[in-house]
Amino acid sequence: MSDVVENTKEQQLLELKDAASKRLAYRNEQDTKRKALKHARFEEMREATPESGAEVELPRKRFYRQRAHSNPFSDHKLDYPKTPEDMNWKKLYPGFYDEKTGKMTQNVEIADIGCGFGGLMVDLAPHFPESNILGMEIRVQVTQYVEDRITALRRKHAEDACNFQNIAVLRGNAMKFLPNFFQKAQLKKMFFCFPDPHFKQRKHKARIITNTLLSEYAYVLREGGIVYTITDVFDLHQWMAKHLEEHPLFERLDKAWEEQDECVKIMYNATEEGQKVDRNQGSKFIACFRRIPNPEL
Amino acid sequence: MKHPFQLILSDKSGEHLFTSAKHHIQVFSTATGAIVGSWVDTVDIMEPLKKQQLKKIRALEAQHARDIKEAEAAAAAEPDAKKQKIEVKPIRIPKIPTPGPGAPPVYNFIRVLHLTADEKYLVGTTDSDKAIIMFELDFSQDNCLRLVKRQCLAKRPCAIASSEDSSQMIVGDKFGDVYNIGVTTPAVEDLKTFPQPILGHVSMLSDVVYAKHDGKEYVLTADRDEHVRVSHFPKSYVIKKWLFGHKEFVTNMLIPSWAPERLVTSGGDDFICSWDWTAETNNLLDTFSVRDLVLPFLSDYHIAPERFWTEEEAADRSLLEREITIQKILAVEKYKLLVVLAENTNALFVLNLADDGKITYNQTLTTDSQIITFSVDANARMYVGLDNKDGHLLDVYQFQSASDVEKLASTTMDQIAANSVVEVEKADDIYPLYHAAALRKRSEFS
Ligand SMILES: C[S@@+](CC[C@H](N)C(=O)[O-])C[C@H]1O[C@@H](n2cnc3c(N)ncnc32)[C@H](O)[C@@H]1O
Repeated sequence: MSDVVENTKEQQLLELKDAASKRLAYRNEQDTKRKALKHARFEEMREATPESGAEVELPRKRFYRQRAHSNPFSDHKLDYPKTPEDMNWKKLYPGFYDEKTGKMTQNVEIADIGCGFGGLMVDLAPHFPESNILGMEIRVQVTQYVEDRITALRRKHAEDACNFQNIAVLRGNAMKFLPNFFQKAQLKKMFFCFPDPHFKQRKHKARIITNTLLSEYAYVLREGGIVYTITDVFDLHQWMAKHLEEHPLFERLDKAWEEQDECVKIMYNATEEGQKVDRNQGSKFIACFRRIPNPEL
Repeated sequence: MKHPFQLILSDKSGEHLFTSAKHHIQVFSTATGAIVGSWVDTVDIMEPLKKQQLKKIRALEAQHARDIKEAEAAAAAEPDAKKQKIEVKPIRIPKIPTPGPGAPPVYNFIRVLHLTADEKYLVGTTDSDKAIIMFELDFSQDNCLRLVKRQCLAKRPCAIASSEDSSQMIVGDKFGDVYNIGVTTPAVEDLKTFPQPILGHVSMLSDVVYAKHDGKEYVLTADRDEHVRVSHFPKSYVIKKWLFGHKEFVTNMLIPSWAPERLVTSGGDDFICSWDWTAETNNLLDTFSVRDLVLPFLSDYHIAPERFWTEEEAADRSLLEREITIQKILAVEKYKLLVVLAENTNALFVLNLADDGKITYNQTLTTDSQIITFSVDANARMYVGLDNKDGHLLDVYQFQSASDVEKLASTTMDQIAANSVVEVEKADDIYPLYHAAALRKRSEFS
């Protein structure tokens, strides 16, 4: 009896190891591909896939597994620019870099904070061709997945109206280093989709929406800019809504506004986490806010 | 043996020295060396733990009571099992974790002392109950320190500034939050009802400065990452800008009184930054490298702890770098000078700060013992706290001009040391005196 248990255990372990090494091998392969492609410019990429790459394969999510939570306080070895001016956007949006002027022809105006597997950006891309959209994600492997996904999409749709040159992902801690990436009033939309709930009272400061972080978001958002929030955790919904409502630089948008807004519709269904909620027949709670002008100082 | 002073702060006139050693605050007259004020933190450092413990026990008791009720209800609902004994787990009273023999000692000391601009209040921090303590100063009393407010915080306070009118204390804590705490309002007992922070970083706050420019008020905050932020005050939810330039933690910010648009910052970098903090863009005016100045005064103490060494470094120790931490920069207002202390060294570097923000070298002063801290008064007199085991705890210097500094032979300084009541039996009992270098962030897998 115990022998059998032992055996299956051992087997399980082997299988686990095998799966882990498969995932690693897959990611290594993608790594090489990514490195080869990442710095390739838009035009070069088109040449590389003349037949608009019908055989371009999208990366598979199951090879990029990672622990569900990460600690936003800890000091990961993160790479971030010293100032927003030092940020090399050309690397992320090669399609919008003007070789002649050495400048970007359009800038990041939409940010998906904690973008996870990137579904929201993919769905937003065709709706905002004139804005670059940036996903920020703290988990390495998840970020790599999104990178590979975008690379594949760009190759696959190189000839299409929406060629996904306007979306990109960046590994970073949005709670700590947002001001290193964005200038004052650079953004017009910020999305917070299904953020980690951090249930325990003690951990509430780890939440991505707190009254003090909201001041930073207000700094990078322009007047009239929108903060979108959606979650399946009612408690968290109330918490986010409360903090945004209490913050002097934000005002709540009403149901009528939500119903006519295109992004609300997209956000409701686009993200991987949102789809999971659908599968489990959970509810989704939305709250949107407008950045109002600074008061007299 | 006298415990060295961990903090010293002089008033503008230089008549008084406010000092701390362990959990004692002592105020001395610089004319006579006499103690004119004192305060001891009598709150047991175990107090907060005991409170927590009590809460836990209460919660357990409540749970226990509920368990019994439930078990009784269940028994009542099942008549067949009537005779069965009702079994409920007894409560186990949790123990207060007492440090074992190998555990690091718990230190209880004053980490910050701040004088309000009008010198009406002395404000400090406690470790024991993580409080801000505010004293009204009255030198006509036997003890010039009258505690007017003691406000506990959820997280340990570690930086203090005050508003221009001295009515509000702006306090930064270990988790990066900044609170506005009134002097005259009663202390809030239940921390759940404590007002929200006025601003926050997601990193330990290392310094807070209040500033005024063009009739508008600001609060400047620095943290353990490399961020320096300028926010409006009291509407601190409106951020004016970040000042980018540091690569390591920032330990202090200084706005010189003769150039209120200038800001000098320093910390874990081997350079000092000089800014125009009021400008919309191009704030950084100068970076001044202190590397060559400081290196000759560093020792093996300044090498990273062994667990952070790379394999190559462990194999060849000559690869290990001595790390520079600027612990403090103060201004000599009268002669528009800066004085810089690198942590755990026996040197002070005097620098010039020109009107255009450029920093240049002036001279180096050295002492016989390592310097713990220092303070400068409005008459260009500088008080230097020494890490000394033979009772010589203070040196005094007088700036005679922008280029001429004289060390004074002062018997009152020795008198002050002799009058201090904070004693230890042996050198080992002296509290750790250098804390800034520990702010350096390290990665164990570099
Ligand atoms: C529950 S997931 C939701 C992902 C995605 N928005 C969705 O709806 O499918 C939350 C994500 O936020 C990321 N995250 C948490 N804290 C973060 C931070 N400080 N900066 C960037 N990303 C963060 C997590 O790694 C995680 O992928």
